Amino acid sequence: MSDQYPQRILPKVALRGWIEQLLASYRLVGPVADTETVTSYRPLGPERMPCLSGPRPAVSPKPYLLPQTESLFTFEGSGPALALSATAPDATPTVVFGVRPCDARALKRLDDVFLGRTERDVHYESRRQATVLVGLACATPSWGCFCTSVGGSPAGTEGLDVLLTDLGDRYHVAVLTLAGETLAGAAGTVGATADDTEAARVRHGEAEARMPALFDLEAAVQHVRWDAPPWARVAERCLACGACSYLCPTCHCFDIQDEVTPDGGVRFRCWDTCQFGEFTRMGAGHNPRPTQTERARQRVSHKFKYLVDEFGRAGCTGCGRCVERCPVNIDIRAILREFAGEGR
Amino acid sequence: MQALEQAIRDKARALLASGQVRLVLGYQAGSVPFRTAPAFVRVPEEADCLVWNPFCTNNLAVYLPSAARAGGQVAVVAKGCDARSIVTLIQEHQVPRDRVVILGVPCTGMADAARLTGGDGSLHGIAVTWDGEGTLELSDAVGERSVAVRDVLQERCRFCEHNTPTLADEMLGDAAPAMPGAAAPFAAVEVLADRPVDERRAYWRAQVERCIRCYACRAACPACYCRTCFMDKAAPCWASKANTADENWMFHAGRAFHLAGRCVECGECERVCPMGIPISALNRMLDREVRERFGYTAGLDPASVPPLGTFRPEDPDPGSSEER
Repeated sequence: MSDQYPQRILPKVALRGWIEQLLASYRLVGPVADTETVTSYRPLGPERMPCLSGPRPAVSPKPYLLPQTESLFTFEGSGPALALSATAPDATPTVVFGVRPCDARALKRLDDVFLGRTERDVHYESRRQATVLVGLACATPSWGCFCTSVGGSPAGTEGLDVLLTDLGDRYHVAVLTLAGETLAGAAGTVGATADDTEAARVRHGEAEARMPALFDLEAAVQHVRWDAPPWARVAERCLACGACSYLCPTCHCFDIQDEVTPDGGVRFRCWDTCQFGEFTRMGAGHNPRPTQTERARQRVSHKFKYLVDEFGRAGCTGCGRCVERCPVNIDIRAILREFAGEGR
Repeated sequence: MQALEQAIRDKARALLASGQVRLVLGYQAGSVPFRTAPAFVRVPEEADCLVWNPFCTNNLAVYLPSAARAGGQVAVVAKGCDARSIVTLIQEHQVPRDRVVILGVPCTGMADAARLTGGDGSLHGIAVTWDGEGTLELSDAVGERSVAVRDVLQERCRFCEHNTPTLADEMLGDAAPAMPGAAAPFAAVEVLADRPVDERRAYWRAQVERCIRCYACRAACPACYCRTCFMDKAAPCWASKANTADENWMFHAGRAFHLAGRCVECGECERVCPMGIPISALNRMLDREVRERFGYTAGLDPASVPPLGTFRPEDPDPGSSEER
């Protein structure tokens, strides 16, 4: 935990006041129950406070940084009179409130790709720079969670500006960055005592103790290979839907499409996934990944080999959404255990 | 060892050992105790991986068209809903009748794992055992408890009218008792259907706005076997890949109409939806229409012809100008 900024305490009765204060200057998004069983990050408002208990939301906050559909430019007219106009990057000041450590860490993985060494994606960059992340330490793991197996923690701070820890009637507020200090300074907080900080540390330890690592990440990464046995076995029952990719906080592949009307149109990008056969099908019909076997290999290898080779970090933060929402119980943890030589 | 599970293993082993089938589709233990996974068993020695319990939720008929195309005979463990899907696949010439051996299992309903969560809303670390009858023993951080399967049924199972398969080459067990909501299968959707049209439109718009177009519903649906879905066609482009409520509605409404008179209400579409969209309500509304208009229930008789796959001059025509 950073010692650069003072540790604070926010009484729960002051939470609403803080959020209302933030709403005056920011778009706030946070966990909200869509249905009895599905919680997603949705825009908050005076009538819609975040749900800050229970396991992590069923859907990640990825859409606020990488929307499922976004315009790149629009065009009017045709021929010599064709006029293009670039879509201005979105720079709405945004706070993701109650973001879980796995999801904040996932944004660092998206940064690897979109704010990379050679290319910077202006749309992503604009949103990213305008976004502040107020995290919430996980107290209750969801059944698919495995952050501790991929170098994370239920109380991990990577990517966060603030980390809240629930201490019953109050939150421990760990300020991690200047942006976080700006938010938390306005929160009606008081200074944390050494006991408070110790209480937060105990909570973090309890949460970690509930989820021992399931495999050795380095061993698994070393053994992910092109002709490995799991690919065909996984592909056999894979239904080729996109639930794993679309729920994944780090999956980022997209398609680019034009929507044309007689007077003009829009070029937009939208999520796409290596799990769809169309994803790699060429205009002339050839498909370099002709079956689900190659597609199963792609998703796992991308996260645990190609991104590791490129950026030195795996593209998975162990949020477990793909595990929980796979219609046919394909469990990436079991695949990685197998690669790590720790049984099926 | 529970009798039905043993019967499934014995039958699978015998069919593979005799060479009658090259593949048995069934259920194997999942990665967690409240899930199973589809199993593809090809050698008799692996038949013992097959399981039967209230988590055998997948409709395995979804694998049959491609399995049948690959040649040979395929045996499939089929609950009531799965068997109805197989009937529609036979009717629609996706699976030749003589290529499939239907191992019918009487079903007492599948448990909704989400209803097993303890007070902390999580299934993390939960241990689940089934007594082979109607009770699940649960143990997790909250403590130990037992629940009746009947009390944690998936919604679609409560309303199931054909939990004992209507078509099977071999029945592996006695007929199961009727499900609690079987007498009024449309009770839940009628509540929705009775609301004013503006309300229903707003309701569905809010639902499909949340759709992320992962197409898990389509992928899990045995009746969605088109090799290129209308949603994936680039020319003509029926719908945009842009995620908007209108385009999403195009998908869900289009899919629902394509399934009218064909959907067997296995509910897999809704179970697999990661966004919790009540997709099968659309199908159930159309099923009600088809039953009322044409007196036809999908998936019961392989020799029958689905009403929207045929035409007779005397067919009721509710859309005609005379009836309007």
